[in-house]
Amino acid sequence: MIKTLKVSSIIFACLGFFFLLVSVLSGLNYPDYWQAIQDSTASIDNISKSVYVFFLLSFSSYILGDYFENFSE
Amino acid sequence: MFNKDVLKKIDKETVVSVLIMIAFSLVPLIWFRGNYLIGFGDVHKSIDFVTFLKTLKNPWDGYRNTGFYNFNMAVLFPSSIIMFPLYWLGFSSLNIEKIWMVVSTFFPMFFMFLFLSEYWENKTSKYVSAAVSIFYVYNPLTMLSPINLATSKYPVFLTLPLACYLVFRIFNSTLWVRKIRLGILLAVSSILISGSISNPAELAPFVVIVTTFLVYNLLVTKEKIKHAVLISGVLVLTTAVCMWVLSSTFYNQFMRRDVFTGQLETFSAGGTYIFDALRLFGFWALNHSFGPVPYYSYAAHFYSLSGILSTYLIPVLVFIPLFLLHHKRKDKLKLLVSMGLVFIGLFLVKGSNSPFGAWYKMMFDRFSVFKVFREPYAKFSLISLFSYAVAITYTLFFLNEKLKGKIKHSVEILSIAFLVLTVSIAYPLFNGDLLSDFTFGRIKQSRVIVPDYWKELRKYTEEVEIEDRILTMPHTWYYAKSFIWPSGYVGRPYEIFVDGNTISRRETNPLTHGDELINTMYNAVNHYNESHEEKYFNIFVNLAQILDVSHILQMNDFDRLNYEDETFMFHLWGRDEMDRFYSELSSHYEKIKSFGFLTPEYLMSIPHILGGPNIYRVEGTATTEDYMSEYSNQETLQLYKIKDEKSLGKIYSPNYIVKTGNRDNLIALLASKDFTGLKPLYLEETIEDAFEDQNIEIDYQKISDSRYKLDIRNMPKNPFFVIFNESFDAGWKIGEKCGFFGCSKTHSSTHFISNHYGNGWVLYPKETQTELYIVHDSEYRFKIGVIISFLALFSCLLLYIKADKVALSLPKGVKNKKK
Repeated sequence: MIKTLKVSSIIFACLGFFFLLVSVLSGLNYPDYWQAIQDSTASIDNISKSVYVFFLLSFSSYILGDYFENFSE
Repeated sequence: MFNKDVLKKIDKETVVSVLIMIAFSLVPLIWFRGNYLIGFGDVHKSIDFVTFLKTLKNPWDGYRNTGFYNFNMAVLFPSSIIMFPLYWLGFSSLNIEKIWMVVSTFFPMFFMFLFLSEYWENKTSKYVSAAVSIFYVYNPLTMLSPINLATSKYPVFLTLPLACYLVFRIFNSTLWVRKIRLGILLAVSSILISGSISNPAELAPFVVIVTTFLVYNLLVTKEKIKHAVLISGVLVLTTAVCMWVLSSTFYNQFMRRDVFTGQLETFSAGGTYIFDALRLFGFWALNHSFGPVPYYSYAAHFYSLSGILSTYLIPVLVFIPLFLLHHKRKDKLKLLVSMGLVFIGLFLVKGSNSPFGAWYKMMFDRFSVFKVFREPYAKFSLISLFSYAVAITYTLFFLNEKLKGKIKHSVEILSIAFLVLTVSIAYPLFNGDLLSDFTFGRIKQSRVIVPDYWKELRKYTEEVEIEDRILTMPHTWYYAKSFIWPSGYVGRPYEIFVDGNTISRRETNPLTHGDELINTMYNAVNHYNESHEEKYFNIFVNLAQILDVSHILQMNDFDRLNYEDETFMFHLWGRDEMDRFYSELSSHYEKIKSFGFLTPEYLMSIPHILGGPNIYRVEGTATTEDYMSEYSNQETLQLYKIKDEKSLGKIYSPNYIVKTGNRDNLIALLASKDFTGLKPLYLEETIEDAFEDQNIEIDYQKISDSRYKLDIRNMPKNPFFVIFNESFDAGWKIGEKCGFFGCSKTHSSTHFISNHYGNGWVLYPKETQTELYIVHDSEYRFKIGVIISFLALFSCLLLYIKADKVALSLPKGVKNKKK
């Protein structure tokens, strides 16, 4: 369980960085970047939301893992 | 008292780091280009220290409706500490402004440097701490809202790293004497914040971060009880020291809560895209313009390839520690705290936008006080910036550990690389693009020279001691402050130049419904100018009567070129047109005495206090039913759309007007216990008929903005009115023998809204003396607050000197370590 959480934390962090990269690169395809972000159909902002969520998941699963680790000790 | 250990800690790295920070502090000098930057120089020159003290004494002026603090004070306080002494030493205005900009840039940097070194317990190199401290001052947040220009944010920006430094110093010190002294310094340093907060919402980053660090330290410390006692003492002292300015906020928050929250109910939750929030951008105005004029000329760069790639290196550096947590490191807990602050900051900055936008919106809807955070970027982004700085320091420290031994001078190279990144992102701060240059009709700019005629006007108002209101047309509103001045526009300073007396001196404020009235007058003039329809002229005349306007000034230096497409465009007349309008106006409304350019000879006057029948207007004003029915459907008359009684709009909708019949009924109603005083009244008979038997005269003297002394001559036999032409507020009291802390007797039960706008009282001759006072009760709260603050400061001084004795008498079970 502890190990799963810690591995998940790293995987989520990797996914966060992956989506960060994707959001930057995908945004570059738009001629008007600002307009693309404002447009709800555009994917940039949705990808950016994933960045926040994955980093948050990584952080949360680490804390949980750390908590259980200390608790089991 | 002086700790010699401090000198021992100063090494070569520290000296070089401080020198680099000093060099970076000189950057604002390139913004000046020979002109004033913020116009404070002129303001300070014309407002001497005595006037400044008077401003402090004037708790009523400023945000009248909410009781927020005197705006003048908020603008003047932080810079005054440096500026006034320099004036006395004979420095020029421009040089003083330059010195202020350099000093105000250096200290946040320096305090951040101290904090980072303390937080990571000197494990990081001083060079890294210095580089990140420079980033704390030069970054997208300060670029979009230059901290040392946006004065109300500056004190928190300055004191946040200082307070955090002191918090960690308190817990890291082994000597309890020193802990107590540091705690007192922490309490006293809060004066800087309290003295200049015009909007309490600006305090949010300070509260969130300092509380987090206090809780963290309390949890990890071994002597929890003792530290809890110390921190509680500091918090009590901090509050007490700030009471000189907090008294009114406390009063509004707790005693007049319904009014306070009612005013905020119209706000909706805003937010910024997480895409931008991640890289510290997100100010709503970044990609907007006013008409054809963009707010930030350089905004496009940050949506181009190089701009996006460079700015996204910031979150990359911030989130790298997510991997580092898995290493067995001693400072893991501190890293967790800083990463937690990163997530809290981002959640708050993005506001109602997803992800988790619904949570923010839920808090916004459920808790009224949360409504002050309607624009999250301005309020919360300092949390992101601060936590980013802490996390980036750790990343750079970690990278240095990995590179050490492999590359020579790895720490210097890393620090320089990060500085290059900082400069490339915040380049508008370094090349001066931050402040746009002025081209007529193209763009606003911030370098300011206040034209001489404004100064003459101010001088004139001081010489002739005019205590009356001034109606300037057009007034300006948020982000529409450009004037056709050779050296740019001015925002706030003009309000101070025509100090205290103008009705429309503030920009449109969502909390001041009075501005709706002013807007309506402007629109009426615009429509009249286009169509020459009589009804628009009548609107203007009627509203002028409500406000008792007798003279109007036209601000001919308003830059209309920028606002041609705007609804609020105000037609500026030439001399002939003005004369024509004035002659027509005076034939309809005899009280108009002049209508002219912004020069002293056209200055109008509106008496503050009047008595008797000649001022309680009923007929021929907007209060008549015919008028209401005719114009209530017009969209331009926004003032009739106010529905929420809690909002305490100063101009009420017709639904709230109480018909009273004849004069006797009116007086009976005013005297009855059921009358709340919050509803406007009007008579159904003519003024002349109702008050034909009265010939009252009132002499008055303005003692301060919150206190007037009245002398009633020709005391009538029947009940009579006293009208005070200041915006209605329940805090105004009329009373007798008013001393330092209160009046021996007040006549508050008959307080009502006069002329839909001002304060009125009905007084009974038998119960009234000829000498009266009108006092705003915030004056007493302010005085009590000042006394508490002085006592608290005195206690701080005493505690600082006697810290050793206090430390010795700490609770049992707590050992006092002493050398």
